Amino acid sequence: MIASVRAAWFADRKRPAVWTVTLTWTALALVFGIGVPYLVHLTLAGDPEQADAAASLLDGVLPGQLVTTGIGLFPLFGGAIVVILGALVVGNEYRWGTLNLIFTQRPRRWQVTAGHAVALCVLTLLLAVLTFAALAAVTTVIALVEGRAPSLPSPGRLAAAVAAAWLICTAHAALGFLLAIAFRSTATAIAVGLVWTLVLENAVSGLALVLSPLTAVRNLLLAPSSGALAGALGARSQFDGGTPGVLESGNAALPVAVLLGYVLVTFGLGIWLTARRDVG
Amino acid sequence: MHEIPSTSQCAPSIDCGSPLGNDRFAIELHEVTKRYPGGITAVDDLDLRVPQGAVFGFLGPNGAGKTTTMRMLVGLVRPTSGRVSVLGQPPGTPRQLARVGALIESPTFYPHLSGVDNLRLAARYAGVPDAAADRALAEVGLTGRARSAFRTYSLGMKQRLGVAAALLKEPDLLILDEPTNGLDPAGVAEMRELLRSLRRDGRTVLLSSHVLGEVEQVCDRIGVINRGRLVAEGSPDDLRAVLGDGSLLIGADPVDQAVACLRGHPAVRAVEVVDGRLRVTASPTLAAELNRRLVEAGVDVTELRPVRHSLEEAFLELTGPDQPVLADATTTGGTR
Repeated sequence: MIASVRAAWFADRKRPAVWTVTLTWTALALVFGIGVPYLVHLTLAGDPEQADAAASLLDGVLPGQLVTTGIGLFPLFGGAIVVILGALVVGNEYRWGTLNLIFTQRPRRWQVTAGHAVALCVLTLLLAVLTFAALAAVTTVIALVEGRAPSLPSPGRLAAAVAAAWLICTAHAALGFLLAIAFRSTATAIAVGLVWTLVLENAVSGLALVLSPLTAVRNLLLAPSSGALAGALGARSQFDGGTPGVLESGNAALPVAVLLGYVLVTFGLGIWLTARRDVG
Repeated sequence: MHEIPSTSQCAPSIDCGSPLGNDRFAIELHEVTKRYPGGITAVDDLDLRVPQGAVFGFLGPNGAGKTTTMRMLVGLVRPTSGRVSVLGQPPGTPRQLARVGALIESPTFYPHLSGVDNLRLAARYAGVPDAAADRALAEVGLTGRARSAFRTYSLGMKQRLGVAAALLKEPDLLILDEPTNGLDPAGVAEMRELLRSLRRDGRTVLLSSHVLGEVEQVCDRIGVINRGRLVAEGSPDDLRAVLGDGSLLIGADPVDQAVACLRGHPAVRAVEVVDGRLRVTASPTLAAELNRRLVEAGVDVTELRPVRHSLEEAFLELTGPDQPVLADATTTGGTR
C-alpha cells in the first residue's frame, strides 16, 4: 500500500495539469477573494458617502479576517475547481491507458486506486495550505500598505479553517475521482461533476429556501454542506453580503459528518469499481 | 482443431492430463471463455498450456482473442468461465504479478514523464529499486533518450520502452504482444537476440506477432487461435506439416516430356508448370528417385530442390474463412 501511495504521489507531483489547476485556483482565490474587493475599496475610498462600505471591504482583506474570507471561497469556487483536479488525477489513467501499466506491476488493484486516493488527499491538503498561505501573505502586505496591524487569527482558528478547506476540497475531489472512474473519462467526469455541484445542487439549495421539505435533502448535498461548514466558521452568506455558496450555519457537526461521508463513500465506490471491472 | 502429428502431441515427459498448477507449465488455461457485455465472445472454451522455459508464439488473425487471452493472464480481464493459472498462481495476485512482465496491445505510459521516470514509477509499484529502470533501459538500447518525455518518442522507441517495462522485474514469464511493432530492421534483430537470451536464461516468453518470419525464428512452439479457440499447436515444423509434405521445384528440358514422365509416377499428386519450371506436389524425399526417372527418360534436369511450406501458408490455412472451428474437437495433448 505504501508503495502504491509513493508511486501515485510520484506520478501526480510530476503531472503539469495538477499544478496548473492548483496554481490557477490559488490565483483565482487571490484575485476574487482579495484583489477585487480591495480594488473596489480603493475606488470607494475617496467618496465620503461610501466610507462605511469602503471600510467594510478593507476589513475583509486584512489578515484578521483571513479565516472568514478564505473559507468562504471554497464551497462554490474552490469545490468546482477541485472536482476538476480529482477527475484529472484518475481520469487520465483511462485516457492514456496507463492502468495497463500500473495494474500489472505488483499491488492489487484496490491498493493502486487507494494509493491514488491518498495522493489526492495530500494534493488537496497542499492546495488548502497554499491558498491560506497566499491569502495570508497578500493580506499582510495590504495591512502594511494601509498602515494597519498585520495580526493574523489565532493558530487554532487558522488550523480549523485549513482543515475545513481540506475537507471541502477532498470531498469535491473524491466526487471527481469517482466520476472519472465511473465514466472511464476525464472530460465526462468534469462535465458531470460541474453540472452536479454548480447547477443541480445549487438549484436544490435555492429551492429549499421556498420549499422547506427540501431542506433535509439540501443538508445532505455536497456543495450546500460545504457552504454550511464555511458559514459555521464565520464566513458571511451571499444574503449577508458574503460569498456565493456560503450558507448560514451555527453548527459544523452536520456538514463535517456529511462531507466525511462523501469522502468515504466516493473513494470507497471508486476503489470498489476499479477492483471489480475489467480493464479494456 | 488440426490434429498435428509428432511434436504437436504432448511430449512423453509431459503429463497433459494433470490438474492446473503443474509447475512444468508457466501458463495453463482450461476451458476458458470470455464473453463481453453485448454477447461478444472473445475467447471460447480455450485450452492452452505453455511449458516452462519455452518461447511460445501465439498467433491468430485480428480479433481472434489473443489480446483478451493475454489480458486474462495478468488479471486485467477476468474470464467468464474456466480456470487460468500463471506460474502456479491465479492471475492478478501480487505473487503472480511480481514474476510476470507484460507488454499488451501497445505501450502505455505517462506522456509528460521521461522514459526513465515512467520506468521508475512502474518500479515503485513493483517494489523494485529505481536502478532496475536504468538496467532495463540499457537492455533495450534506450539509455540515450532516457530523459526525454515519452510523448516525444517515435513508435519504435515507445515499443522499446514497453519491452523495458516488461523486463523491469526480471520476470520468469514475459507476455509480449507485438513487441516488434514499429521497430526498424536493426531493432527487430535486437529483439530477436533479446528473446533468445531470455530463453537461454530459462525464462518463458509468450509472444504474439504478425511477423511470422520472426516467430518462426525464435519460437519453440506455436499456438494458433481463431475465433477464440485454439486451432493448432506445435513446433513450427508441425504447423507447416498441416499442409502436407511440401513440393519439389524442378527445372527440366524438354518440359512437356518431363511433365508426362512425372505424371506417371504413383507418388506424384500433381504437376504444374510455373514460370517454365515444374512444381511437383510430392514428398521431398522422392527427389533422388524423380531425378533418376527423368534422366532415364532423356530429360535434362537443370534444377531440383524441395520447397517447404511457409508458416504463413500454414497460418492462412488454419485461420482462413472456410476453416471450421470444431466445437467437439478431440483433445490432442495440450491442445483442443
